[in-house]
Amino acid sequence: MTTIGATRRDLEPRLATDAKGTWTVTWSRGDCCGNEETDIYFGQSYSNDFTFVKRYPPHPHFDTDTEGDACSALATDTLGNWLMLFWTGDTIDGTFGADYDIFSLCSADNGETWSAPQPVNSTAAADSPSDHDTAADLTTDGRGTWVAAWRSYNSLDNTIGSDPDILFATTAVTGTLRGVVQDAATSALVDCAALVITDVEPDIEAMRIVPANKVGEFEAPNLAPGNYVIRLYSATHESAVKSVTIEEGKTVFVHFPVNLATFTQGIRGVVTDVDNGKPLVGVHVMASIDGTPTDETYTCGDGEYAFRNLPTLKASVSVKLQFRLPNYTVKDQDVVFNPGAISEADTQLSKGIFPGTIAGSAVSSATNEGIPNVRITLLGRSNISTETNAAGLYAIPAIPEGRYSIDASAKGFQSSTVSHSVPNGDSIEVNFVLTPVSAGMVGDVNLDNLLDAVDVQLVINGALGLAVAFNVDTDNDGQINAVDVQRVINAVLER
Amino acid sequence: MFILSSLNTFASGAGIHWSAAKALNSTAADDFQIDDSAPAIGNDGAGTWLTVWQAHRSTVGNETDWDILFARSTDKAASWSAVASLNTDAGTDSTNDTAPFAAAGSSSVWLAFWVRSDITNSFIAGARSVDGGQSWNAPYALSTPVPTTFGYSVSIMDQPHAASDGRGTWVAVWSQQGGIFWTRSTNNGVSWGAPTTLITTPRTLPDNVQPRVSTDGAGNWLVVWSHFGALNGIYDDRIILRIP
Repeated sequence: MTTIGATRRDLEPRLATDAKGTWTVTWSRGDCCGNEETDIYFGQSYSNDFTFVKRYPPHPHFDTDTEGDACSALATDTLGNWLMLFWTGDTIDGTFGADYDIFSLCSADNGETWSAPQPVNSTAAADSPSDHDTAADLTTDGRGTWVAAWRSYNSLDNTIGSDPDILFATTAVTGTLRGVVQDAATSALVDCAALVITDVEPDIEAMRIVPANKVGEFEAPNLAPGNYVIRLYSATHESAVKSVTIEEGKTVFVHFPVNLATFTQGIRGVVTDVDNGKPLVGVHVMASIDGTPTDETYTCGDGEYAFRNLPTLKASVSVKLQFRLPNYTVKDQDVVFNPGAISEADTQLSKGIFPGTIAGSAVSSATNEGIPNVRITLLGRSNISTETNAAGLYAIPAIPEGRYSIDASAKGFQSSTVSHSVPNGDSIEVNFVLTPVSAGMVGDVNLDNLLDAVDVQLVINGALGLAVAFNVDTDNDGQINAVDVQRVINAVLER
Repeated sequence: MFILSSLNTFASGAGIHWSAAKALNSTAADDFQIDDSAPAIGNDGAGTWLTVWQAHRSTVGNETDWDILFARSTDKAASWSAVASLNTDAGTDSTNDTAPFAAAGSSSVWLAFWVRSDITNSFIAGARSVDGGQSWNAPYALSTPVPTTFGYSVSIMDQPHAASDGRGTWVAVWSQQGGIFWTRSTNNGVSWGAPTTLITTPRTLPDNVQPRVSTDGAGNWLVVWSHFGALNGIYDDRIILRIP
């Protein structure tokens, strides 16, 4: 027996082999030193030597993300292609919601390099904070088709219920859109342009916003085959529209020769992130005059936008600008537009904060009945607290996104503390089973120097209706180890 | 400068494209507050895809417990069969059937494993299909039942997983009372040897959970699992099977 990971909290190993000597293990690793965020790790063994020489995250994303990642599935087609799935509440640099979504990493060189995380559930960018997608599995026929199945609360636009159902997705043969934006007169490359790619059949592909790079090039890989409309927005050049057809396995090249815009009047500005000052790309900016939407644009790679075609008015008016970007708070800003002049309107957007709720119950392990007047406290956050009602139920609303230690205390019962993350705008259920304090229970056991040998059975009635019974050791203070409690909670949630 | 060429998106390092998410369980639109969860999906390399999962109070089975459901696809997951119960006693049992896993062996044989428990006992249950997962025989006990209230520091019985070499030999693994157990079949799942411990957990040692097994089909079988305790980590153990 050998150890692949050690000294850290390593969980959920997944294993596959190409039957050619390479074995790959992926798992979730909890960081040390009090940081409970878990990341995806992988190790590989070659030539059937079972040494697993690699033991690190498959992609730099895991070095900088801030939310826990749960290892979910691993498969190979035995042709050098490997695919792993994980689920996380991480927004992947603000691109996706803070609910749990499924992401894939793929390697086409037998695990040497791995792609950046890509969403498996097509709903990842637009689903609501409670549309959790978790517990994915994966397999392949070894001939190019990969199928993922997972548990989801998503109602798929109300076509199914919002109860947990099994969803699936398959890999699809795709095409790529590439192009370049150039000044029509000078052929100079235009570096500030945002390409908004919309499919004609919107069920196939979500809208993508792709910025041109510093030399005017843009690329949109992995587009489902179909017909697309590309709208070009630039802070310096005129807008343009083109239609393209994406075919399987092919790359379509689109050339945008655009005219330098004459900018004598209008509004322009730069949109940045309030936290780090970085320009925000793809921000949708709507200009409204007297409540009527008048023009729209998108920010380009430098965060710049411009309205050059506002109607010429006789007098100054107040123009309402509305800035929208996924996972950021929508911002309205009034700007005075003076006919014949250019108004500057820089703005900053902040990551959205949508309060969530922690709710649940406290029941007695002896009677399985609700316990009234249990004090439920969120530790460390100004000790926000409430009490359970006569039925043993409680709810704490308006909880900002974050990880919380939740304590349940009541006279005559052992207190219990667990840790849980509240995703942005989500509601989570945390149920407590409290053990009455009586002879033989932890509170009364005081076997000097022997407390660590005392086992306490902890029964958690999970949200899924499952009861899981574990025994956990008391520590030297006679208390149940919070990590063990969390493990029980995780076991329930995992089911 | 662009180089225009046909792009293998999987090989480009840019990742892959996934199709739009769709419901796999045909009951999705009609069930109400039914918890369909813990899916496991397999492929037999011959065109059949099988997904198994657990469902709580599903109308497909007994509406008071958890049962194992399944659906098949023979068109690369373009469509899936109507949901059916894998545990053939789903309509009459009152046990909780959870944490399923299914995989294909040879000759259209599929095996499924899951945790079957009630307030008295828990054990690993198995079922066998000889028609590509279309129908299943009655559940059998793969492991020895242990009391549900058994007092070890991890779940009593959990996470069955299995692998086949495609020539009739299977290895199944699961966690039981803090240890990792395994057993072997050499007749494509018709019968099994006595369960054996890979690692046990005396009360002074940590817990071992979440085992997974895989084989290269050439005699190497590897089991990995998560190990709780003073030295947390992922452990592996290689099993060498020499089949006569």
